[in-house]
Amino acid sequence: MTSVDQTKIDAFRAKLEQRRTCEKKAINTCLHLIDEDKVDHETFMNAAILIDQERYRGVNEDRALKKVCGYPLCFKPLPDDIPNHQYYVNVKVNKVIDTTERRLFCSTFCYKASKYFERQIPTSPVWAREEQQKGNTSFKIDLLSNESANKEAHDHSAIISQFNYNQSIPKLPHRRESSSSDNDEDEDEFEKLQIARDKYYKSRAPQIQKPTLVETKLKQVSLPDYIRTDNSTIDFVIVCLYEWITDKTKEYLENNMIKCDKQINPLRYQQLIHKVDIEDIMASDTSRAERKLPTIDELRKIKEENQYELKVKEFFVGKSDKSKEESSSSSAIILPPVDTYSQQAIRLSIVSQKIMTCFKQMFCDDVKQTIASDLRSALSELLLTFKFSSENVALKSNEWTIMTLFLIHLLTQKLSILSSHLNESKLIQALLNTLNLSSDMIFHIVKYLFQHPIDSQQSSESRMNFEDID
Amino acid sequence: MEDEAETYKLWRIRKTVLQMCHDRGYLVSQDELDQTLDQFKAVFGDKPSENKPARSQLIVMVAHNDDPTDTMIVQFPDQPKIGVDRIKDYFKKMQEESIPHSILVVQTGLTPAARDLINELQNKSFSFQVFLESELLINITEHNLVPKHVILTQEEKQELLARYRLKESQLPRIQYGDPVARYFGLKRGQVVRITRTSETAGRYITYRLVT
Repeated sequence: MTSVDQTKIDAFRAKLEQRRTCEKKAINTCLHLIDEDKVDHETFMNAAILIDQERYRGVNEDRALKKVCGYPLCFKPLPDDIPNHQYYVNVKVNKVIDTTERRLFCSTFCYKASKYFERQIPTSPVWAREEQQKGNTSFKIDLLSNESANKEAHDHSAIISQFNYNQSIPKLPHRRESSSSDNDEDEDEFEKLQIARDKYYKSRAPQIQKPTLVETKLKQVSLPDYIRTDNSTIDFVIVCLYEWITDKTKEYLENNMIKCDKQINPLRYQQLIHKVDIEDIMASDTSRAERKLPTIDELRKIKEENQYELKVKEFFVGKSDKSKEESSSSSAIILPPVDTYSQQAIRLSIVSQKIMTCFKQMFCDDVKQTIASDLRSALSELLLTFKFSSENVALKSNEWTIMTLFLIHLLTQKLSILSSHLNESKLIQALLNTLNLSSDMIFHIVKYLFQHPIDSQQSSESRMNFEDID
Repeated sequence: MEDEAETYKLWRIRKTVLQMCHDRGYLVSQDELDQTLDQFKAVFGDKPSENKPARSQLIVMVAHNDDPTDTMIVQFPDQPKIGVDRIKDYFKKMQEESIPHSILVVQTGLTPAARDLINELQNKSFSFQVFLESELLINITEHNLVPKHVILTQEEKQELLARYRLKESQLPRIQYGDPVARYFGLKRGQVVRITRTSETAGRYITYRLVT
C-alpha cells in the first residue's frame, strides 16, 4: 500500500472520528437539557450549535414525559389538567387545531419561545457545522423574552408557522394582554391563536385579489380627472372600453360606411417596394432582389400570426430559438392552427355572451319587443367592431353590468329611440343611482373616449417611422 | 368490549415473548408456552382498564438453559412513550441485579434521546432490545414464508469457515435490524443457518453473517 493511500485512509478515519465526537456531543447536550430542570441561559444558547432541530424536539418531548415544561429554560411543572385529546376544535372560526405539540409546554409563552428557538437551530448536520462556522461570522441565537414577546408581533406568526404556514407572514396587529404565562388559560390561548390565524388569512386575502390587474390597467391608461369616477371598478370598465374602441366603431356609430384608410396607403407601399428593389439592384445583390417582397396585406398578417404561433409553440415545445425552429420544423409536433382571427373570435364570443346575458337581465320586462330586438342586433354589430386583447376581456360580473350600461349608452348615438327609453326604464335608473352615475356623465365619458382614441398616438408614430425610410 | 380486545392483545404479546425467550434458549416452562387465553385471564385478570392486569405485571424473568447466570428480563412499561429517565432506571436495575439481557416492549415508541441513550449504554455485557407491541402480536417465525433460522455457535462458525475455506466477509449477510435477527437477538458477527425448502433442490441450506 502506498503512502498516499495511507494518508487518505487516515484522513477518512479522522473525519469519521470527528463525526462521531460531534454526534456524541449532541447526545450529551440533549441529555443535559433533559436532566436539568432549569437550564441556564448560557448552556441553552450554546446548545443550539451542538444539536439539531429534531433532537431539540425530542428534548421537548422528554421533558414533558418528566412532567416538566418542555422549554428548557422553564422549570414549571406541566399543569395537571391538560386536555388529552389530540385536536382542538374552535367553534368560532370553524378550525381544527392539532394540540400535540402545545401539550408539551406549561404555557403558550413557553411554546412560542421554544418554537422561536427551534427555528434558529441550523438545519445542517451537526458534524458539518464546525467548518461552516470558520467561514461565516459567528452565529447568534436570540431568545424570546417576555418583553419582546409583547413588543414584537412575530410570535403569533411563530405559532402559525407551526401549523404549516409560511414563515414569511405579514406582521399581524397585536392583541395580546400583558403576559400570557398563566398556565390555566389554555382554552383562551387557543382562541387567541385562532384569531391570529384568521387575521392572517384576512390580511392575505386582499393582496391576492384582482385589483392588481385593475390597478395596472388604470396606471397604463391615464384618464383625465374630470372623467375619473371615485369608483375603481367603473374606472376599470372605462379603461377596458377605451381599449376596445377602434376606428371602425366610430364609423359604425356615425353610420359612415366609407372606408377611410388612414393608416398606410397601398400605393405608397408599392412605391417603397419599388425603391428598395432598385436599391438592391444598384448594389448588385441580385439574389435578394429576385425574391419578391410581400405585399402589404401579407406582411401585416404574417407578423401577427407568427407571434401567436410562436406562443403556442412555446407552450407545447418550450422556448427555443427561432433559427433552430426553422431548421427542424419538419420534425416538429403538428400544432393546432392559430391565427389572429381565432383569438379574436374566442374573445368576441366571451364578450358577447357576457354582454348578452347582462343585457337580457336589464331589458327583461317593460320594453317593447321591437326595441329590444333592434338593440340586440345593434349591440352584436357593435361588438364586432371592437378590438379585444387578452387582458381586457376578463371582467367580473358586476363589471360586465357596468360595461353593458356603457354600451347601451353608446348605442343611443345610433338608435335615437333608445335615449327616451333610458330615461324611462326604472331598472337602468336604479342601477345608475347605485353606481353614483348619471346618463349625462356616461355620455360625457364616451365622448371623451372617442375624441381621444387610444391608438392614435401609436399609429401616427409608426407612420412617422415609415416616412423616415425614404 | 375494549377490555376483551386489550386482554387478547396482551395475551398474544406475552405468548410471543415467551416463545421468543424459548427460541433464544432460555428456560420457559411448557405450561406457560401453552397458556390459553382463559388461563391468562385467570392468572392476570381480564380488566386492563382497571389495571388488572397492568402492563408492568406481565414482566418475565428467564434464565438460560446452559448458563443460569445468563438471565433475561422482559419489561412492559405502562407509559405509552418512554423517555430518557425510564431507560436510565432500567439500566440501573440491570446493573444492580446483574441481568445481562433486557427486552422492552413499548406501546408507541421511544423519544429520540432515549434511543440515542440506549445505543450509548449498550455494550458487550449489557444488551437492551426494544420491541413495539404491534410487532409482537404474531410470532413471525411461525409464518410459512419465514424459513427456519438456527444460530451457529462460535465453534460451528469456525468449522463452517474452515470447511469452505471462507473468510468471514465472504459469507452472505443478514442485517442486524432484520426482523428475524431481532427476534433471535442476534449480534454482529454471528452466523445463522437458514434451511428452506426449494422446488429444485428439495432442501436448501444457506448461511448468513449478521452485519
